[in-house]
Amino acid sequence: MNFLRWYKNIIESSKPEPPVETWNNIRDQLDIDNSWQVIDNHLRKKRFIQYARITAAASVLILSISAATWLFFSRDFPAEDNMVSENITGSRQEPEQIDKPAEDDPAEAYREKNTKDIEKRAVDDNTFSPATTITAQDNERPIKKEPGGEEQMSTLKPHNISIAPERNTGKVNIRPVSIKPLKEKKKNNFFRKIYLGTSGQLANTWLVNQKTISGFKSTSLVSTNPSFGSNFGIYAGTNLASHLDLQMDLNLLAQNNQDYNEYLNGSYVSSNMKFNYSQLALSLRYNINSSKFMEGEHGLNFGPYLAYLHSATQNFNNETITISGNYHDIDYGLLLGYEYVFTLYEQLGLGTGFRAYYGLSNIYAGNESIPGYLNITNNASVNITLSLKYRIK
Amino acid sequence: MQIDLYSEEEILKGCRKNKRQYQEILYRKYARKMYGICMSYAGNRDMAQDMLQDAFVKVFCNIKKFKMEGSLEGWIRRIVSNTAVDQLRKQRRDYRFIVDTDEEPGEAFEPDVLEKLKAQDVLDIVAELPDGARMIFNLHVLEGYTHKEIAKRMNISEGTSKSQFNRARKMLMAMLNKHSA
Repeated sequence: MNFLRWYKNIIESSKPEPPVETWNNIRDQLDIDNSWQVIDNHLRKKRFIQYARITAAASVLILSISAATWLFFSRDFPAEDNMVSENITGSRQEPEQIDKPAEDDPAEAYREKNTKDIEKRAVDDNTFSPATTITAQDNERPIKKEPGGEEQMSTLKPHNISIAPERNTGKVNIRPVSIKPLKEKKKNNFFRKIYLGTSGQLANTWLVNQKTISGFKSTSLVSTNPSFGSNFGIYAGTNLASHLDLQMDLNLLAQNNQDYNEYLNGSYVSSNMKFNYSQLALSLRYNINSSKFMEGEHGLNFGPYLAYLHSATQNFNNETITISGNYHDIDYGLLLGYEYVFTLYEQLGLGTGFRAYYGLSNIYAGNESIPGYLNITNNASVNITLSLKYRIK
Repeated sequence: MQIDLYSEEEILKGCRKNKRQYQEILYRKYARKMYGICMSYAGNRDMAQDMLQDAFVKVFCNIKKFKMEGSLEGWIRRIVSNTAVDQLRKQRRDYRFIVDTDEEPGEAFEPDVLEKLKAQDVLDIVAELPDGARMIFNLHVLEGYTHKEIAKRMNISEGTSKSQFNRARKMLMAMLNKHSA
């Protein structure tokens, strides 16, 4: 008889009865696993709703700011076209406004002078006709200027026409020409100005997670309290376009804290979590210089940030424990801010405004009791800013 | 011939829906056989119970991954043997092996002598083997692993697996012989 085959048969056919409690233990274990599964599903649903709300709120905020900015600053640009058109028709022109371009441009001055001479000579010679013939687009479409025909003239754009006395006929020819002075000006517009400064922020900070949110409910044993931190750092920037800057902020200290009142080991205590980060932010800044409403520079910042966690501690009952191991070292997110800068002295400005930060990563790494995915935590803060800005060039 | 009240497919369907009734049926169906295997690996009842418990929790958590390509019993058995190896490794970082044996295989493999032995006696005797040697012997005989596979699984050399298997076989034969005598 083969010993090994015999051994296999006797073991497989042994079928001893396992202890009764084995199944009960398995059942309990499965119940726990199912409970975690149910909790996880519930949290996932809640998380989705939370993200949807935040996204909606952010969209509304961005749209509101954009709309308000557009409505407010669109009033800063006068209807220059109409003014110049009116100048051409000669109905409501101001002498200063007509003379200015002639002073700047010698060619314009020459044309202006010649036109006036021709008109004068025509009047002297009795050859000036009140119905001046105006030709447009190489004399293909002659437009008659009637004595009361100002509306027709006003539709012509000033930068598309030139008035030149081509012939001494006493008639003024108007024809379209292509002049693109604005595009030439836009060349070499990048990095024309550089600025740097230092900033301090008073931050109202939040750890956005299930515990913090449930702490707002009166039925919860945890009570969430507003908490504050401070940021300090330096920044530098340069322009990308006439109204657009690229700004880099380095916050050497960026605090994110959260205070709770909660039950710990049978007693109701106040608990405070402190996270000290260093933060690097890169943002696009849209600048508008206003002369009507709060004279100075108004800037809107939007961009990403990256933060490195230096320390994380939890304090309760005057006892402080380090919790760095439960949290990821890196956090990243988005910032949105508004700043008003007014000139203190020549190139030096003082700025104030607000900034909102929202972390996109889960900063909670997890521990043996609660894995990271069951306590998704994001940093968030709304900060009041104060800065000193120095314009180098 | 025994006709089961529930078909294997029906039990599987119920288990996949996390229905406790079907999970218990599956457990009852295979628990005794798997407990015997756990006993042969563990060496004591408490550890065997832990192995069985862990193995069935894994079975129910992963039952959605089981495709009806192989036998359900074979799949469960593989989970049981893997759990046994993992538990022994967790409990002891180093396996204990047979250093040397002077035991000579006696006449224990004579059919009439072997028939006198009960399964529980065999389990008790095999429990006396050092855990490393017992693991190698069981993986090779019960699960059909090659020495190469055992070496990889237990992180030992193939030569160690072969030598420990031979020593375990000789030692087991000698002990069974002594017991039957």
